[in-house]
Order: sequence, then structure tokens, then C-alpha cells
Amino acid sequence: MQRSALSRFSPFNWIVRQPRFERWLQKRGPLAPPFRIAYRQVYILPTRFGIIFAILLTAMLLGALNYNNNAALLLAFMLATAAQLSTFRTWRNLSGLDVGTIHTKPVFVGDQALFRLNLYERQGFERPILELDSGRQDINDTGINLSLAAEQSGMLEIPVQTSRRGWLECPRLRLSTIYPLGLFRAWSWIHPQQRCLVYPQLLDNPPPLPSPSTGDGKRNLQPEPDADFAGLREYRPGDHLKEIAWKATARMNKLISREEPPTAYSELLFKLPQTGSQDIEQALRILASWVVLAEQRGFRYGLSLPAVELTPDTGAGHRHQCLRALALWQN
Amino acid sequence: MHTETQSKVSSIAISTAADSQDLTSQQQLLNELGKAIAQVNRIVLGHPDAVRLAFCSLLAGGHVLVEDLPGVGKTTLANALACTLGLEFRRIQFTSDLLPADVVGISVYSQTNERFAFQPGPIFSQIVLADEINRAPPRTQSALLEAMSEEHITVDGKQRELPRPFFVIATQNPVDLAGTWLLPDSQLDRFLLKIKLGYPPAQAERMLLEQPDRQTFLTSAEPILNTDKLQTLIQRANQVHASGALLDYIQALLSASRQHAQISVGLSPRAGLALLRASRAYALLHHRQHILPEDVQAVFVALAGHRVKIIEQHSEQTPDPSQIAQDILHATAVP
Amino acid sequence: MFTGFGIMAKLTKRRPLVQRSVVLWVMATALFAILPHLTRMPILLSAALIAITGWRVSRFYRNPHWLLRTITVLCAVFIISWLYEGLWGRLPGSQLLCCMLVLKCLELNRSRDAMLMVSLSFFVVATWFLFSQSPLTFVYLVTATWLGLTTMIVINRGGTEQSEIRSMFVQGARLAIPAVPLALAMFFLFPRLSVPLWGIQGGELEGVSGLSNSMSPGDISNLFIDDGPAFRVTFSDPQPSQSELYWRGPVLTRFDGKRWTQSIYSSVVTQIKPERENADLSYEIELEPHRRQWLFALDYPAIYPGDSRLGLDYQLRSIRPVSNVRRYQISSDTSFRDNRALNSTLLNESLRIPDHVGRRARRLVAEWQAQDDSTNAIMQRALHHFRDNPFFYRLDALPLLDDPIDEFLFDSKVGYCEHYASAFTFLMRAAGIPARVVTGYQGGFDNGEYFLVRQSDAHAWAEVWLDDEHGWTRVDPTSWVAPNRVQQGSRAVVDVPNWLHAPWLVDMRNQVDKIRHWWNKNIVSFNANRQSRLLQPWGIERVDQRQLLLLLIVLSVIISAIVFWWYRRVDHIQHVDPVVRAYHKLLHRLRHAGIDTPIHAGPQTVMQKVIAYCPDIRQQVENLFNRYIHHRYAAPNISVEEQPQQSNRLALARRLNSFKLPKRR
Repeated sequence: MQRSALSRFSPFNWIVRQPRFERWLQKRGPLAPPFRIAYRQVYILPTRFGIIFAILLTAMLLGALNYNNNAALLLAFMLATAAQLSTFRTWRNLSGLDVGTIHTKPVFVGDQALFRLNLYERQGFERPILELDSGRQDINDTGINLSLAAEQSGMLEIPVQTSRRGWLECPRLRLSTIYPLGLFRAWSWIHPQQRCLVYPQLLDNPPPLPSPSTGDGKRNLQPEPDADFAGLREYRPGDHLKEIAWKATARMNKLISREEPPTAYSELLFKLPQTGSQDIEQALRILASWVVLAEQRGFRYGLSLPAVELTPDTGAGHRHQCLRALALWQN
Repeated sequence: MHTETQSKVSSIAISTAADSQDLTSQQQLLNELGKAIAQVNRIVLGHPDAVRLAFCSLLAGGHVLVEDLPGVGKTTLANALACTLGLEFRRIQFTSDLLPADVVGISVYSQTNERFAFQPGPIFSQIVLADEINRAPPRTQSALLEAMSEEHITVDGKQRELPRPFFVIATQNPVDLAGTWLLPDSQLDRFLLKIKLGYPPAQAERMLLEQPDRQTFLTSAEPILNTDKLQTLIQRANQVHASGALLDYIQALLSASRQHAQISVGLSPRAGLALLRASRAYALLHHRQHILPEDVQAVFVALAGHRVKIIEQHSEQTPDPSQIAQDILHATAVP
Repeated sequence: MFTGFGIMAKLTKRRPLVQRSVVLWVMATALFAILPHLTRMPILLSAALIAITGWRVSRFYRNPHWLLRTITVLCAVFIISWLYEGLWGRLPGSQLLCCMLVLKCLELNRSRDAMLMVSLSFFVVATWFLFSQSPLTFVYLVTATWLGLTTMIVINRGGTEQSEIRSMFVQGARLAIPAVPLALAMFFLFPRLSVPLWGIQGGELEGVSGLSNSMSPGDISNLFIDDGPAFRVTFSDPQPSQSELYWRGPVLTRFDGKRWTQSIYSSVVTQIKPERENADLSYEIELEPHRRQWLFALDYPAIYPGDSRLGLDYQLRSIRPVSNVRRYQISSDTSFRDNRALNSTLLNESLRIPDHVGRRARRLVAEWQAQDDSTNAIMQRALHHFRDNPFFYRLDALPLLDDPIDEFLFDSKVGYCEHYASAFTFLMRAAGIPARVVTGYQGGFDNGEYFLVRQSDAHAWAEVWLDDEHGWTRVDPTSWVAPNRVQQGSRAVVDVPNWLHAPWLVDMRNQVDKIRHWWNKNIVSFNANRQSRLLQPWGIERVDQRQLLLLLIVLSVIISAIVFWWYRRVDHIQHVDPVVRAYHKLLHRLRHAGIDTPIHAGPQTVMQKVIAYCPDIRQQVENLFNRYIHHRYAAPNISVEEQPQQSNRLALARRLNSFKLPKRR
């Protein structure tokens, strides 16, 4: 434990963990993309390897000075000045870069939310190995890097694991580079104002869709008995007796249910009580799964939650509206 | 300095003395092309860019998809093109009950010959106007789209060639109108360019109200080009020079489209070839023997808009593909 | 309630493995670092290191088990300590470092390991400078720095393609080249230590050629073919003639029958010194390190460095061994006579000869004494003995086995200075005349501004106590056998190997030595003392370290500013085509003038904007831009009259460069 803490030590991490640093950073104002990284917004510190290198150089320097070994002294000075010059190149690798807006698309709980960042090189020189990370332990952001040629644009993507529905704020991002020598890290903060909508988790095996709305004064559309059905599937608890395909059941030796026929005229209105679940979160998951299923099968569907009413419709836009309502409901 | 340029010009002239005949005929052809464009512009008021793109697509041997609200002059544009070019012209009004056979044709048993005879559909025509293509069911749509890509039709196991040149102008209502089927993404790139008309500018719209009905213009329009001339022009367009620097530029655009944060699938190499083809035609429209970056830029939005797949972003506002194409243009440096 | 809430999984963020190209780069750097060390290693060890390197870069390489790695490291430590009887010291230390560097490659998996190996390589390079600091090592230093920095860049890029190697080296050079002036500034201005922080140990003699503190006939011969420099002399007074240049080194008084060694009295400081006022010959010596204490001088040093002592035998010794190039000022009193220092002990020592050798020689001396007993007569007889009998001066003399005196005098009669000096001294002692052997260098080569004394100029002669008036007097028996040796230098009598002394080769060597001299003078022997006198040419007598530091900071800032400016220039894409380069410069100028030319603007768009900006020169602008467009986008012209492409190109580039926007009214 002690050792790993030591091996993880870097001046950067140490500074970032200071609460005073956070306050200071806030004072400097948020850097919400799109913006161009100004020279003042580039910070630079030696890396862990940079410190090891400095110790080695100091040892070499002291030895050379002591023995007045001038060639070794010259070597130590050469390396020290090269390291010093590399800071300028490291800093320049970041300075003047254009950071575009961050884009993301809604995901379901359990999936990875991808925040995509566009970078534009407009200064006319190459910028190798730009790294993006969040400095957070729970985000797997190792090795996200990109090299931009002169006057080229590129994209970096940071995956964030989702664990709850609702809005997921994009973490504070750090765009950094250690090029060319790896002795110094120059970085710049990006405070995206972007957030990602996280829909409730989809269930692998959701209960069957409820029968088309009944008793609401809406059209009660019973599936015609002779309508050709889209297919058969295994029986799930909760399937109505009428839905069981007895012939197929006899053939396959297990309970088989009919899939709902894909008639464009069915209208479904999902409500919380239909899910039969006491747990609100579970109920929302079931509703979300239903919305996805209904859209897949081409139904017209709507959502009726306390304080939220979405009239039956179809299409990608409607699906999003429903899922969004579920994601944000009482959240 | 001035004389230097003149001497340069004359040297070019000498070098191509052998083809001087050719050169004058080409000049003549280009002049006629200019006249044709002018005539179409007289009929379709207020959309000179769209008209130029339509001609560009024609010269590049590609098909055009015109997308806009009903009543802005899509059909007029197609009609005007057909009249002016002096080509055989058919119109297919796509409806929800249109069958594939209604487009490509059908084999009918002929009593007199005592065998099946093929009755060619409206697609066997040099210019086909597929009106409101997204109102037909997908099967019918793909019948047309397949014919467009393969330039022949197979009916009853027999392959039938389509006439040359074969040029489809499809019109489409924006998808958010009810009762439409979206064209499948994978087949959208059968159209070289997707043109938007939009409302005409105020000046043009006023003139539209003032002048007699467009139909009278159409009937009075004279064919300016013909099949042979058009074929020669298409051939000429193919010979327009693309320099190394220009190819670099096109490549940079392609890779920028793949790098864009809002695009999930960028432009394919086939799209790159199409871009080159369209740019060639556009350069020829401007009487040039070589492509300039400006030519590429002029066709890029119309070409890339329907080929990139945008990341669905329902949250706030759906990004407009042509806006993103414009973004890519702005982010890419001319070498 | 929220089942997914609060899961903050600690991910193991593992860095990816390094690419094969990175391994190749790192191994090349390591190999380059150990290359000079390999020449000093036992052949089997260096072969093993090369084999491990080869295995690591081959396609058959698999990471060995950790146990095997540990055993290999232990083996290396054991072998080195067995070879050199310990690990402490320059040679075993540096070779152990080499082994560790190469063995680290068995654990070269992540970029961290690669970076560590490069740093270690730099350290190995630095240890080489303990062995040599010649001008060639400077070239080696710069090359090694360049290669090392390039490798670091490659590691941070995560690898290279074959086609990128050149550009990688260019990137490396952009760090290494500007580092040279900055490093030199630091070198001269960084405060030096005038007193070492910790002890400097001497006594390690391996691999350093030069005189030793004992002599047995046949010893020096390996020096004669060593053309390496021993020291250089710059005379400020008119230089003495060649035959006067006896550079006095160790004085050997004791003789055990085989070997001449120094007397313990030579380290006793003499009380009777030549007077400083009498010094009439001053010169500066630049001594190559020989890791002994003695300093060379002409007879007899009157003014000498403060950290050296003059012994009873007037031999000059430094307090510390000479482990670096050393420059010192000496003034000699040529008229001084060493005639007062002979006490009884020293006298006894100067007469003692072992009984078991030189019996025939003693009989010969007895014969001479029977004829004339005077010191002078005996001396003359001895010298004439060498000249009149068939004695030869040859370097390839056979080794003398049992009795080096008799065998030489009566049997072989072939030898060189050591043999003659040794035999002559023996004869004198046998006659009861105090005598001793002096080793040192004789002569030197006038290389323009300085005198070069090579190892091959090593010489041995005798000193005889004549009487109380003359004291110790130098007698060189070799000059009676081979007068050329003393008059023209060692080269006149040496005939092996011949080709090494071809005139052009000798000339070239002398030129090369001039570089070495300059290098030694200005770089290698630069120290705290010289540093304080750095600004003397500008009239500032002494600078202290604070002023130096200030100067260093100012100079660093200036040089850094220049380098940064240079970086800004070279970083931008350099178009190979001069026309394109000129066009982009023009765009830059237009932007400065306020014409909005974004990067995505094509040439025609730019032209329209320029025309809109200054419609007066429309013709000129159109002309220029059309030519550019034609050059860049039109099909190549196949006209016969076409001017050569290149000159056309340059003309257009010139026109683009000379285009100026008119001032806006």
C-alpha cells in the first residue's frame, strides 16, 4: 500500500488534491468549450519521471563538479538545458489549440456515456500525443490520446460508466501532453457544461407489454384472432392464457407465447401500476423497456405518469421524449 | 508583367494547336451550356445555386435529390431541366400504393404474339422525375434506387439497359411530414447531390407573382442541348485535371468528416470519388480545365449532407447535417 | 434505493506495453552508451552483453522468469567482483553499470522501463568520461545526447514507423543542437567547486600509459611505440636546444639486482631550494593525466605550483595524483647545482649494489681503477667502453634473465636507454662513485606554439656525484651509443614500426594534437581557478560566483529567447515547394493587414478579398493569383517553350514574396 502510494505520487496529483487548488481554479473562471487554449491557461509541472531524471542529473552534476570532470559536467548541462528547452515545446504543444464543443448522446444505465471532444489545430504545426483524462479513479481514461497534424482536426472520446438515471454531468477534463521528453506535463482544464441524459436501465427480460389500453374511453383494439403473428417466444410469467400458442407448446414441449401482432393501429398507454412493481426504480426500468419494445414493434404508445402525460405517438423523437420523462421523473 | 502572361497564354494555344478544332467546339459547347443554365434560371426563379448544382450533377453523371417543402418549385426545376436539355422526359408521381412494376415496367401476355412482351415502365427515359419519392413504400423506392445504381433493370431474368444519359431527379418532402417513408440510409448515396431549394428571395418571388404561369414558360422553352452534346460534356468533365494539392485537400475533408465529434459514420472512399467527380463537373461549369478548392467547397455540402451519419442527439436540438458539413469545411485548411 | 448508486469501482489503470520499434530505439541507445566500455571489458563479457542485446531485439525474445533475471544480475555482480577483485573503483563500477543497463532490457515492458533505460544510458555515457576526455569524446557526447533525446521522443510518441525515423532525428536535433550553446554557457559560468566535497582516491593505474615508479631494463620499450602525448610545454622564454630538454621525472636510487626503485628520501622535502630570483627559464606544462604524483620539469625548478613539493632528489611531486589534465607554471634555474644535499644516508644508498649481480662488471671496473683512479677517468672509460665496443641501440632487445648487468655488458650488447643508464650507474657505483638512474622524457616536438612531448620520448639517464663543487651531474650514456637519440629525438633511432612514421602521418598526428591541446587547454583543464579569471580578456581581473551566476542567468535568458524564436519558425509546416511556402507567408501578411483569410479560404476566394481590399491594383493581384492557381492546380504544361520548371517556380515564389499591399487610404 505504502509502495503503491509512493509509485503513484506525482506533483500534479498532489496539487490537484488540495482543496485550495480547487477554489483557486474556480476563481480563474470556468473554461467551457468551445474556446482556444490561451497561453495563460496552460499549466506545466514536472512529471514523476521528470523528478527522477532531475535527481539523476543532480547526481551526475555533483560527481562531475567534485572530480572536476568537465566532459561529464558538459553532458549534465546538455541534458539539463535540453530538458529546460523541452518545457517550451511541451507548453506549445497545447497552447493555441482550439477546443470544440463536447457532444454526447443519451444512454441507458449500465452503458457507457461517451463524451466526445473535438479538437482543431489551426496554428499550422504538428501537435503529437494530446492526452485526455479526468483525474478520477472511477473513469477508465488511460491511453486516450490523439496526435494532430498541422491544420487538422480530431476527436477524443471519454467513456464514463453510468450507474443511475437522470443527468450525468461531464466530469472536469484535463487535456494534457508530456511530449516531447516526458519530463514535464503541460495541461489545461476543460469544464464542460455538457451533461448526458441517462435513461433508466433496460431489463434483459421485461414483463410482456400490457394489453392495449382498456377502460380509458380510448379505442379498445383486440387483436384479430386470425391475424398472423410476428412470432413465437418463450412463455414469461404474466402472459395471458389467451396469448399462449397451444399448438406450438405441444410441439416444443414447453410453454410458448405469441408475440404481439405488429398492427400499426394498436395504441398503448403505459402507466406505473401496470408494471406491478412496488419499487419505483424497478417500475421505471420496466416502463423504459416497454417504450423500447413498443417502438421496435411499431406500436403507437404513450406514457401517463403522475405529473407527466405523453399522448400516444411513434417515432424516434417520441421514444426519446418518453425515455427522457422516465429518466428525469422525480429526479 | 502583362506581356508575360500573354505570352503564356499564346504558348498554351500553340501547344494545343492540333486540337484547336476541338478547342473551339468545346468553347461552343460550354457557351451552349451557359445558355441552357440561363434558360433554366429564367424558368426557376431565385435558385441559381440549386440550378448550378443540378447541372453539375448532370455533367458528373449523377442523380439529384431535391428536398424541400411542397410548392417551392421542385417539379418546375425538373421540368425546366428536361425541356432545356432536349432529352426524353418522364415523370413518376410516387404514392403510397405505387408498386415496383409501375416504375420499371411489366411483362404482359400479348394475345397476338402469343408470348409475354415487356412493357417498359416510365423509368426507361433519359430524365426521370421521381416526384415525392418518400411517399412510396420502401420496396418501390428501392426498385428505383437499384435501377439508378446499376443503370440497367432485370425483369423476368432478362437484363434491360436503361437509356443514356440516365438522370434521375427525385424530390422529397422533409421527413417530419406525416405519411412518408424515410429513404434508407444505405441507399441515399445513390444520389450524388442533395439540393435544397428553400423559399425564393423576395425579388424573385415578386417576379414570380408578376409573371404569367410557369407552365407557359415551360412550353415555350426550347431545347438547347441534345444527347450527343451532353455526352461530350460529360466526357469533358471527366478530363478536368485534379492536381496533387487538390487531392490532398479532398482527402483532408474526408478524414475530417471521420474525425468529427457529431458524426458517427464519416464519408466513405466512394463518397470521396463522388466528391472528385462533382468537383470536376463544377469546374467545367466555370469553363475551367482544373479543379480549384472553391469547386470542392461549392459541392461539398450538397454531397456530404446526406452521406454522413449524425449521432442522434435528441436532447436539445438535432444538428443539421448540412450545418455539420459546413463545419467540416471551415475546420479544414486549404493546403 | 438506487441499486447502481455509489459504485465507485477502482479501476486498475495499466499502461500499455511498448511497441517493438521503441524497444529497438532503446536498445540502440543502450548499445551506443556501452560501446566505448566494451573495448575495456574482457572479451567474453562484452560478447555476452552484445548477445543479450541481440536476443532482446530478435523475434524469438520472451520475457524470462523473474528468478532467472535475478540470477543473471547476481551472476553479473559476481563476475565483475571476481574479475576486478571488488566492485569499488572506476573500472569495475562502470562495467557493472553497463551490465545492469543491458540486463534491464530483460524487463523492458512499459514506457516507464524504456525511459529509465535511457536515463541509465546517459549515466553510462558519463562514466566513460572518467576514462577519456579527448575531443573525440565531445563528439561522442553530443551524439549520445542526440540519440538519447530522440529515443525519449520516440518513447513518448509510442513508437515510430520506418518512414518517420528521419523526422524523429530532426526532432531530437531540435532539442540537442540549441542545448549546446546553453550548456557551454553553463559550463563556463556555473559556479565550480574549488575544493572537492569528498575525497578523491588515486592509485588506480589501469590503462594509463606513462612512466612507472620503478625501472627494470626492458620496461619502457612499450612506451616507445606509444605516440600518445605525455605533456605539452609552452615556453615563455627562448626555448633551450633539443639536447638540453631533459624532463626530469622519478629518480631511482635503490637497486636490488633487477629493479631500480625510488628512495624513501625522495619524498623528503628539500630545505635547499633554487632561489626564485635566479629562475631564468619559465614555461607552462599541460600534463596528460598519469595518475601518479610526479610533475615534470627541467633542472632545477625554482618556481612551481603551490600544491607540489620538491624532494631531496629535486624531484617535483604533486600532493594529489594527476587524474585530470593539469596545467602548471614552472620556472627553472638552469645554473643551480645540486651539490649540498648529499648526506651520508643518501650517499650510502647511492653506492649500494647487490653482490649477486655484475661480477664481471666489477672486475672490469677494478681493471680501470688500476690504471687511473680518478672519478673523471673512470667515467670516461665507461662511456668510451660503450662507444668503442660493438654496442647497439635497439628497442627490440631480448629480455635479460638472471643478471641484467653482466648479460647486457658482455653478452647481448644490445639495448636502449634503460639498459645503458642502468649499466652505467652500476659501473659507477662499482667504482665507488655515487650514481643514480633518472627517468623522464627527453626532447619533444616543436608543434608551432607549443612543444609536444610524447610517451615515445620516454628516456632514462644517469646522474653522478662528481665532487662537492659540481654535485650531481647528468650523464647520458645513451648519447654515446646513439647520438641521434638525444639530438633529434626518439624518432631518429626508432625503426619499428616504419609506416607509423610516414611524414604525412606524423604531420597529421601533430595537427590532431593541436586540437587536443586546444581542447585540453580550454575545456578539460577548466576549473574554479580559471573560471574566476574568465573575464580577464575584457579587463575584469576576478569575478566571484555571484557575478558568474548573474551572468549565467542573463546569458541563458538571451540564448533561450533566440532558441524559442527559432522554434516558432521551424515548428510551422515547412512546405517543400517554395511557391507554396511563399503563398502561405503571403496569407500571413494579409491576415496581419486585416484581410480575413481563414484557413479554409481557397486561392480564388482570397483573390476576391484582396481585390475588394485594394481595387486599384486589381490587374496585378489577378495576375499574381492566377499564376499561383495555375502553378498549383492546373495540369502540368507540356509546352516545348516552357521554361525550366524550377526557375519558373522560384520566379513565382519571388513574386509572391515581393507582393505588397498598398497603404489603405
